[in-house]
Amino acid sequence: MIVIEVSAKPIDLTELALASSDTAHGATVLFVGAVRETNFGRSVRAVAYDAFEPLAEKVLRKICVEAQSKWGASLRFFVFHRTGEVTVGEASVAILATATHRDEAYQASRYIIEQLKIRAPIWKKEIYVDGESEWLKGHALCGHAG
Amino acid sequence: MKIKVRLFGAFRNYGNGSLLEVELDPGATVAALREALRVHVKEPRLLSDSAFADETAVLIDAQVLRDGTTVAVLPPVCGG
Repeated sequence: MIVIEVSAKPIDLTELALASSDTAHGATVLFVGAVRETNFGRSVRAVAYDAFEPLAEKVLRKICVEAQSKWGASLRFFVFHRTGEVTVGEASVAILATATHRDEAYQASRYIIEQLKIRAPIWKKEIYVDGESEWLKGHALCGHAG
Repeated sequence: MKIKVRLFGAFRNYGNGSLLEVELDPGATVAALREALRVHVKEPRLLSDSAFADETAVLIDAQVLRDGTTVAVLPPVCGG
């Protein structure tokens, strides 16, 4: 089971934990990424997330399928990513992985967040306390082949 | 032919913030679109480091575009 959502809706971690319950799985790993109050010494008020949503959801699903092929087809993943303005302390991304045992749940969760950061068409603009803002640099997607 | 380009991330500083329309010769490729955008986008490095995509996949530079197509220009990504 794979559930993906890229949207402006706030991430409800309690709802996520309840929805993902599975008595066949003894391990649940929840990773939550939240907006930090400082970045490179600058005071951050919020981060505005931009996403090419249809492609982002396809890429995230593909990453989860890859994780199932590596650590087991029975693993279940719930991946939520925010768009729009997310204030300091709020969750911007949540990845919940459930598995029979903890090892594959931990490894799959780590794989998904690391791949998300370099493959999903999502961007962030930091909005600083002093009123300035800046699009952050990232990882180039490959389109130059062929 | 006319190609519509959806703008994301740092490209939102251009066009109307969400879309640019570019005129290309028939049979033009993604690589030609990238070159044509240099008239509108004043950050050559950003364009060079960006990919183009439709709603299902990233397009290779040799991909031929059709008249009326809408593609997205994707700057380097940084989700999470």
